[in-house]
Amino acid sequence: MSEAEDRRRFAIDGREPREVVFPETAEQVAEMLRIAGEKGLTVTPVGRGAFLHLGGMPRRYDLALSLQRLDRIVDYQPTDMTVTVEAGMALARLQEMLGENSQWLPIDPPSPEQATIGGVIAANLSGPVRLSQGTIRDFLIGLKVVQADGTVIKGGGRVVKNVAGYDLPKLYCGSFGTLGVIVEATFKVRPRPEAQAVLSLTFPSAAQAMELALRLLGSELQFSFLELANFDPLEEEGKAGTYRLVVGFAGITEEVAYQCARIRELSESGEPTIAEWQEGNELTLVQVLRDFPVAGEAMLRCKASLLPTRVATFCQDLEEEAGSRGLAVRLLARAGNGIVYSRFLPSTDVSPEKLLSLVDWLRILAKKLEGYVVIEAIDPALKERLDVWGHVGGAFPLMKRLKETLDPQGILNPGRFVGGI
Amino acid sequence: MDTTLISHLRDIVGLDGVVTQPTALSVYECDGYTLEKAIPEVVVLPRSAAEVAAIVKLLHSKKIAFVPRGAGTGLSGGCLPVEAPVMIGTSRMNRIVHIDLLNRYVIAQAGVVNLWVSNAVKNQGFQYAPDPSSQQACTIGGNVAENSGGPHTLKYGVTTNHVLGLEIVLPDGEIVTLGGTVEDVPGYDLRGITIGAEGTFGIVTQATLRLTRQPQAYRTFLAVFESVHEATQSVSDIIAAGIVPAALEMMDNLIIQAVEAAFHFGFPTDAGAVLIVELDGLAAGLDPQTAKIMQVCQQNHAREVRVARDDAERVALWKSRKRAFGAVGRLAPNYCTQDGVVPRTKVPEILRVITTVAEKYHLRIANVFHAGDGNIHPILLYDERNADETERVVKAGQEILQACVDLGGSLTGEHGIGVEKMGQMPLIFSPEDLLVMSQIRSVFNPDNLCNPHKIIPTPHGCIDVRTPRRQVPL
Repeated sequence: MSEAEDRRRFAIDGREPREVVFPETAEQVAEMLRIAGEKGLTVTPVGRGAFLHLGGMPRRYDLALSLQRLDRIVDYQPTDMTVTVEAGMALARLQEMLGENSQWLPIDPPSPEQATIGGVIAANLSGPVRLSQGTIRDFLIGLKVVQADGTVIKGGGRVVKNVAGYDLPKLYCGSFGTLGVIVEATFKVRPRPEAQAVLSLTFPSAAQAMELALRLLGSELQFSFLELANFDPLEEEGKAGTYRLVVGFAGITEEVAYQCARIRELSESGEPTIAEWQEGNELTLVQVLRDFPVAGEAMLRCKASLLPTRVATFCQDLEEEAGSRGLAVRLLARAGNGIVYSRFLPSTDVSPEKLLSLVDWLRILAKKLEGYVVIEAIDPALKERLDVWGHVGGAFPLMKRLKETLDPQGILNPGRFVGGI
Repeated sequence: MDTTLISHLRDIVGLDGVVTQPTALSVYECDGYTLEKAIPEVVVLPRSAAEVAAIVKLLHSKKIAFVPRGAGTGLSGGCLPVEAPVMIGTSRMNRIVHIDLLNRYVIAQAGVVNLWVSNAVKNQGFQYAPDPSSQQACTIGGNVAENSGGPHTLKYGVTTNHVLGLEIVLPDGEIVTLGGTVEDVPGYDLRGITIGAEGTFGIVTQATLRLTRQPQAYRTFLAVFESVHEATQSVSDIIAAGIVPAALEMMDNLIIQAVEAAFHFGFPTDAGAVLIVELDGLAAGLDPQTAKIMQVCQQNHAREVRVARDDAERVALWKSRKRAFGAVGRLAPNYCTQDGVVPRTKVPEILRVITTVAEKYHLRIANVFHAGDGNIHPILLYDERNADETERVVKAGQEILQACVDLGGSLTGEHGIGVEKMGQMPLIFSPEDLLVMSQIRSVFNPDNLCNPHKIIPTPHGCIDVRTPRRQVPL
């Protein structure tokens, strides 16, 4: 690939880096950071460039430091159920290797072929199974990081339980490459479930769907995931006004069968309508749910964090508001976690002002519901005019001090994180 | 201590909230780690975050150091007042502030006892998963400080996996919220780094805890083995079979004898070791896993595998396990518990090391631990009146920890570094790693007023010189 192509590939919001470098070892990463520090260049750590739409606009973008060549397994002990891997390895490849021992790292963020381990950690990427498994922070037990000045440090270790020293790995989860360059990570892994099933339940409204969802979440059922969508995930153009709960079960064959039977019992009362997917077909559906935050065309993508009890109101209000503004919106909620992804379909007659006022409206709604809205993707010309992260709260002075302590020159990924960090 | 300061403290918390009487203060001289002791000059017992903030502001203005303390059940000296005249106890901040079952969280003040949380929601079918052995006494604030574990963390994870948000009073008296009640709050995960910081970032006054649905069913086994080796091999084989039980605990012969003498559960006192294995989840899934576990135990020559007949027997079994440390008092006047971790498959190896070390130093070492996590708890028995034996305990302990590190493990799985293992930190962390830790501490605690002289060793081991009642040089 030519240098020009590399620069294009790692462009952020239309802005290309001055140079792209591909170190092959942690030592080379350290060396590059030292040189960058001396020359006063900014460094943006990237993987394969699949999630560069996330985060604020770069204040400066000198060096894109791609970890994609650090893609080796450092240590894998299947019987210890731990794996140490370099940051540039694609998640899908790691899963493939773990799969040979019927194990997996139980996270399912979008585009696993493109998502690198370092990227998943730095952007705190997650997917539907966060409901049952948690997010990357729950599996990360050790981390090796190159600091802004080129010093290599580590936190945690290689054992599954460890409270020696501060829990540094947590700090780097979701830190957006602003505190250091992640070069290696150790995870605890889990056995792969032997069976899986997916069912979809259709409701006339979000409120009815969530009423049942919350009831089921308090029952004995152990959902692998539980998603709320305002469209048919297999058809894209869902019937307007209908909501679906898509529920997944995973585990021992007998458990899965029992839980599917419990869900089927619900349809005997007539409401809701239930469809089942099995034997391969369910994989397509799971992929649609997983990839939703990045799939298809959109003029605006948002992620809301809410209490699960507020999800229905948020979805309904948002859908109505979008309708009244003549916009089409697809909503997918990780309902048990209160995370709602919204994707506004492209429309030619939407002025920038109209879109910005929609973002304002969204933020007001989220605030009213005691939640947050982060803008995940929007046209760069508009991004310049808003803060994608929104309100950061009383802990911001601590965050700023932390950033200044670990990156005193401010060379790591400037401008992309909360409050302009 | 300055009498004006005392009277200011009384103004904040009331007359009954300030302890200055020497006899009353001696209660606070140590936590569950008794090898070192230090008495605070004054103990303050606030009732709210606002009172904590007022106390801390006052101390900050006078640059007086302080330590937070929960129930004092810690096992590494985390709340030992080292060069910190003021102790701030959270025992009166003991209110469960809010319960939200639909969103599955509870907000509890720092002084709420761990078990109270589960008790408050158990009739509705929920629980707070982290269950340290001291859960009848230890507090949520202490759990957050230590990132506490417990037997069931094998499946459910430790404290950090169950805390959504924290309210903390920073060492300058400012009250800040970290995380929240919703997930993925934008910003750095300061909640994550604060959990397990052993109270060196400030005083946590309140925590938002995630609730977990109680499992529909349990299957609890007691597997009896002739030798420790066969028991630990079974542990490895269970994990290798792709089963993650809710808990997987081992007790060796010495512990079995002590526990049986204390609680009369019916443990076979001639067994080399027993495993407590617990499966939980949907009833439908337990039979196939039970069969696999039975098979593994039999392959490893288990003498007997007993299944708890009912809930009462299950509860009795866990009570015996969780009170094992208490029963050790029957074996020796003093004991020192270690908390090293090794990769799960190295458990048989570390137990061989422990046996060798015990022989080398002529000590008795009992073992009761979280085998599934590789988190060992060798209990070194001694009599503190015997200076020579006490010294051998310290040396043996260091040798065991070194072996854990050599096998790719860690110094502590759940008890914390505190003052106890500060000196060993360089075994697993480089000077650069430790520097970053102290830099991060400075972000929260720039003057090092809050819980000083913990976790990160300083070049001139201040502990040695400055705690006169210290009994053993570590």
